[in-house]
Amino acid sequence: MKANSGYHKGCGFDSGLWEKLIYECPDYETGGPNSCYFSKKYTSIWTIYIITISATNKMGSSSSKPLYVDVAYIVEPDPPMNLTLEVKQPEDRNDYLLIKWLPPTVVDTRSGWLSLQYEIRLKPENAADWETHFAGQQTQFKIRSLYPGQKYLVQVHCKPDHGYWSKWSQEGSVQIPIDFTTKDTTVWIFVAILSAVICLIVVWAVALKGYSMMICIFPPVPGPKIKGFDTHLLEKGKSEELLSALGCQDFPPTSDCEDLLVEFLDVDDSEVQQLMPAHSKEYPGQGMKPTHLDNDNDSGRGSCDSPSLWSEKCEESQANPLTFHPEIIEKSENPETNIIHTWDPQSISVEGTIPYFHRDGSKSSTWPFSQPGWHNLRSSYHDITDVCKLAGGTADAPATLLDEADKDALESSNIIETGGEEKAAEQRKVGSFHPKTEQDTEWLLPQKKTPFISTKPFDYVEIHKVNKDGVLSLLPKQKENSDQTEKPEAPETSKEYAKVSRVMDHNVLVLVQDPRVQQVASFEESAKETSPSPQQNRAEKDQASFIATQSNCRLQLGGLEYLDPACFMHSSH
Amino acid sequence: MSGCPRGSTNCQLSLTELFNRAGLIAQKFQTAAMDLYNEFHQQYSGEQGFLSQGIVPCHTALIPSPVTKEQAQSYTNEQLLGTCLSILRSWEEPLSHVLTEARKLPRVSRVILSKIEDVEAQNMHLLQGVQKIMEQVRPGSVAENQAYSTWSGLQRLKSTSQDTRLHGFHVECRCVRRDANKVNNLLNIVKCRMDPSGGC
Repeated sequence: MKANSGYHKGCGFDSGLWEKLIYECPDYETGGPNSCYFSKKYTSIWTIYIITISATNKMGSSSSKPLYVDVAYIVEPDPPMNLTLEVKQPEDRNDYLLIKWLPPTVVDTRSGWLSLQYEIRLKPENAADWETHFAGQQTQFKIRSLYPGQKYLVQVHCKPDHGYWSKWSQEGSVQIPIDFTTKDTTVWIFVAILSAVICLIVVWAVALKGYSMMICIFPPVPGPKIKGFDTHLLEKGKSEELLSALGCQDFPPTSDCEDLLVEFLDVDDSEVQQLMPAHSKEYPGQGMKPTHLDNDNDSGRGSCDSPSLWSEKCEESQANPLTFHPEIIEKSENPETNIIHTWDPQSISVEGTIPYFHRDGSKSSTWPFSQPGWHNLRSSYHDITDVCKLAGGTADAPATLLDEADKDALESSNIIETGGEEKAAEQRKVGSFHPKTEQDTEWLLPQKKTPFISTKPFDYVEIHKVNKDGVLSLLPKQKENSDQTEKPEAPETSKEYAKVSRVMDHNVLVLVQDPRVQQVASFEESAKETSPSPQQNRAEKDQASFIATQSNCRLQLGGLEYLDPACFMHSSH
Repeated sequence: MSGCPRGSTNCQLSLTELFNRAGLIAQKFQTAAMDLYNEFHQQYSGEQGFLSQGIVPCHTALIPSPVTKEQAQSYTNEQLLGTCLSILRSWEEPLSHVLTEARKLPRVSRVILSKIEDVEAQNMHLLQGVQKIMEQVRPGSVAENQAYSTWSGLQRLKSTSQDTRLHGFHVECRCVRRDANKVNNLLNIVKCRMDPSGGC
């Protein structure tokens, strides 16, 4: 049987004519059995060739189906040559293996006639599987992550753009030295393990001490927030630093210092009880912590240590029932409501005032708004820095600052009368409450207590301490220690307290005079007219939050019943 | 990759940069044409009738171009670039018709249509690129003056006979694949001559 191979030349361009040349196979041998070899002489690139095979025997002949071929797409080059392997160990970088090779000699890539793409593969000597990497059109390749001390085998092959892959080149072998390093990986592994260990430890610690940590982190003691108030400075007891941190620059307080009038009203439950032993125990549960009747007003008690009855009794109130959020403070924009603005008791914004403990030697949970007292206070508040210092002197305990302020305030009232600078400073502390930011916050202002005020000196609550939330814990002015049993009493002043009679919208505490004085004037002054009450300010500030949080919390503090201001709001007035 | 700084009005890319970009587009052009050819045959491989209708010469067959390496090396840069320009211009019209008529093919797949669009886009981009190169190689030349082949394959594509139609598409796919390959090759030769460091 004779097989013919012929090809029909397709689109020849040379003559521009449609040529039909049929060439019989010139070479049946070179390709092996059943093959035909058309050499370069017979083939041109970009020309379609039709190949048919016909078989003939004495019975006849038959042809195969034609095969259309364009030699451009069926090129299989020779494998690359001169494969070289070199281990490079630069000093400042990782070690790597550099593989280099040359294109096959027959292929002319230099002229651009053909462009080849390469692929390398390597494996450790005794491994079963090859690891293949595509190298593009470059004739070198770098491999980094290799096992030190291993012997590797490497091969490379190539193919044209649209053609077939060549056979794999000869194997090249290379021995990786022992000191072949991949430093970066080691470091990263170490870092990862260390981080994992640390994470585990943290998780374990949190799991074990989650609750106690939560207590520490979220102290139950409410406290006012003073913008710029650094409780850490409080803890250190460095009032100067604290006040300077608050930005207390000068007095009268400028608009910048508005925020410094923090309403420190930290009513310590225990102290509140003491404060109002003589009064009905219906002090508005404004959520103020009773002032801490601590010996150490400057004690840097943390919120965790706060002996606030509040925290003990009211779970909900753990979250600072008397937390005067700084937002409230900062909302204060109405200069009229800004105590600092005018320092005029008349014009002092009630909103910015905090319920101010007015005690004449007796503790009370309410903050008396005594006009004269405010007047008196005014002078004392001329120095915001001092006020801040007063606050600053308190510890981190929520009620600390209040207590101290309270005490100081009480003292300052006396001081004012006496003109004592020191106490005035203290009073200032008390009075350095951030003016209520919200317009609606109303604080009982001493204004209406004029008659009352005129007769008795102001009873201040000193700030016992300030917790990190800025909650001031107030102490009765004359009360140094927690007085659970009695109210401090000013000898010559009646015990008149301003207590929160109700809470208006926007967290305005409406203070009323002590019922004993029978002046139940609800001072619902707008900020414009009330005298500044530092504690009011602070209480104001915190009140919003307090009310928000404690709206439904009835504060049962050691027998002392505080009415929820919210309830109060609705109930009274 | 260097480019024209912002705000420059009379900025020209360097020749090396032009060749780099043209080379990339030529590769894409070639790949797109190959994909189209394969896709078409995969879709209509059952319709063997069109294959038996013989070989039809490509409409660009008359454009002078080298078929061997030696011939290619005997061409000048301008001649090689001129060949590329002629081929690319010759395909502008046919490709748009191929796309239009392909939409009427039976069971035409979205893949084929997108491949045709791809080929058409690369052809246009490459034409612009080679024109820019030509302007730098032979300043003052007007690329529009380059001769190109007319196309007469529209009749086949609009034929009522499905076999004829498919045959027509087969011819165009085959021819554009070949011409893309040719242009890519010729451009590479010019590039390696003018910028040997670029991976030649």
